[in-house]
Amino acid sequence: MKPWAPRSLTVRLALLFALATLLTFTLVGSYLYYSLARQLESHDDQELLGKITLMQHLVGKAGSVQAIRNDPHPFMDAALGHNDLLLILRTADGAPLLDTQPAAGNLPLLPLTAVDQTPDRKSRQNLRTSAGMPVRATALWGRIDRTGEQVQIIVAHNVSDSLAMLDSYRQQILGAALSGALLAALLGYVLVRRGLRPTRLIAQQAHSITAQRLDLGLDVASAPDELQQLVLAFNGMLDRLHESFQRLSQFSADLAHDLRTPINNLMVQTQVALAQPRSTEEYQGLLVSNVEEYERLARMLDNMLFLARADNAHVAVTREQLDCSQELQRIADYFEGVAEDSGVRLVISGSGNLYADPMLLRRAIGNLVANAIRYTPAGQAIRLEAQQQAQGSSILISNPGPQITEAAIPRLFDRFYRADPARSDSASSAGLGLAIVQSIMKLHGGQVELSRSADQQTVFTLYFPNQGT
Amino acid sequence: MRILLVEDEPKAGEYLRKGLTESGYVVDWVRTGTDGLHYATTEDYNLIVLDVMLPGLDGWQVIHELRKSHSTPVLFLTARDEVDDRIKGLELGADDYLVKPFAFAELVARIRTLLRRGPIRESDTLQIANMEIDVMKRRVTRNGERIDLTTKEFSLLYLMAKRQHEVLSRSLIASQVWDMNFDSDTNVVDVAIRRLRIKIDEPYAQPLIHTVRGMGYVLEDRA
Repeated sequence: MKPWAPRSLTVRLALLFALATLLTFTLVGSYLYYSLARQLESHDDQELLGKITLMQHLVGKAGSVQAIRNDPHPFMDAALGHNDLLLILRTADGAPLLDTQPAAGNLPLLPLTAVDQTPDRKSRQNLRTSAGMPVRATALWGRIDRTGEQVQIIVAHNVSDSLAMLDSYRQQILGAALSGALLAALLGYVLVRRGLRPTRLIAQQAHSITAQRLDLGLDVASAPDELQQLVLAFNGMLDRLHESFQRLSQFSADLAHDLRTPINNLMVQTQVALAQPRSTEEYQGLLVSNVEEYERLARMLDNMLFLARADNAHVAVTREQLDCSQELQRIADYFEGVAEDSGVRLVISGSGNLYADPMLLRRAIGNLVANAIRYTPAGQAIRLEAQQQAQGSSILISNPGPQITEAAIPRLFDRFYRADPARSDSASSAGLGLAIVQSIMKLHGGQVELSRSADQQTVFTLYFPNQGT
Repeated sequence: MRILLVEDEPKAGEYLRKGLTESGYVVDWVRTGTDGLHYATTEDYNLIVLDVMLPGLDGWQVIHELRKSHSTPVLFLTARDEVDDRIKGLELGADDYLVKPFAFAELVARIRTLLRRGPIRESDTLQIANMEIDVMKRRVTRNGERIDLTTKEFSLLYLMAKRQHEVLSRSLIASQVWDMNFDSDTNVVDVAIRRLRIKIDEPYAQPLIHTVRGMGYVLEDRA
């Protein structure tokens, strides 16, 4: 926003309207004014020329200079009835012969047009008499036919009326331009306000949108074409916010719920133990049980912090080239005992390299294998497989076992989501495992996918893009 | 071994003092950074356990001042574990960094590591009661009878034998033996210990691997 521009679009447009109107009126007014002035002038000039011709004629017919001096009547008559006409005759050497209106004052010297020429434009001049009367005057030589004496004829036309008229006309034009501009500004303001009403309506709608009602959105139908895109984009943003907000609310609720159970266990069993004196063994048993709960809570907090940081990309990812089969072997070694206890075998295949952060990779695969062991029936095998692709490598973890329902798949990677809502035993897992897997894959610019293979295996595929892709 | 504990939270200070005293250390406990700095610069300690969030001088300022004159090992305790915090602590001259909530066994293990003068001497053979471990040949015998162990079982036994009398937490074992540095919900370590016991302890009268309930496992001769 520039400092000189008003913040309100309406005010700005109104001012621009006013400016445009002022400019138009001024230009048109000036044109009219000048054409009127020209018209008045040419009208005056016509009169002037008529009088000049008449005077020349009268001078020509006069007997002599002396005769004119003795009897100026014909001249006076010619000027009679024309209060705004000044007629001055002077002898060749400038001595006054006749002045029809001496009160009007004297005129300065004018260039004299020769006898046989009509005065041209340049010889007509706007002057002021010594008494201050504005006149348009012209002068020329007259010649008395009989004696051949030359006489200066000066005819001046009082233009004060025309000037006054032009003056008032100018005032009017200025007034009209200013009031026009003002009117345009006001009209512009009103019209623009009206025109912008849709934006105010949209703003009003937006005011009623709160965190609880993010799904309201703006009414696209009521928006004019120019604002459709804006409204659509805004609604898109709201939808995304709504979704994130829902997840966040759900997450908070799940979190509170998941914390409630272990904390309740801790509280109640400790209070029960304190209600009566107990044996040392009982106290120890209680404390051990408490430690287990605490460790679970600590793990949950760690996982949640990890997720929160991964969301904000605050987890340091140090990628390196890793050997697939070595990594898979490491995981298999780690779970070997647990798998044998459940009567499940871990089968490794595939080779090649993979570009990932070793810690995060192990964590992701570890979470998936721990899940697989949990759901695989005894006597079956879990396959850990590495596959090389053009742009990266994939790790596939597949296990036979209960089907994950289609409905559960989209939410499977959500935090605290458990495919079986009844299985809320936070003892085995807090339901953050798959969310962490997904976060880790996002941090690597890869992805995790769940599919079912032809032989009814649940297959999780971790795809890691290569270095530089 | 004298330890200075700087911790403003009364409960935490109390249980840490108690736990460390019972682990055989002489512990002085102060509650403010100002006191902590005063004691650290005027008394002689082998180690300082320093909480970051303190009234008055915080942990960062304390170590900053302390490092101008003393090189006493410092172990930081903090509830924050942003990467920046870790880097800041280590840059200011902290020797180690432990994030709350931590396992007590973990704290004791870290303190032992910091107090150790130089690295552990890796001996070729370890003898605990009637068990002998030949590190080079990766052979274990008890009463002269050979015991067959898998690679990981041997690594686990060797870790515990190397640090006998030390209670090792599950996460430390997982990290040292399998290089898995995250706490999983699975009981991998318990299963591994159980399988190791079947081979090492069960055939013999005197068990060497002991469970410290709520903390972890320790290998020692309790005869």
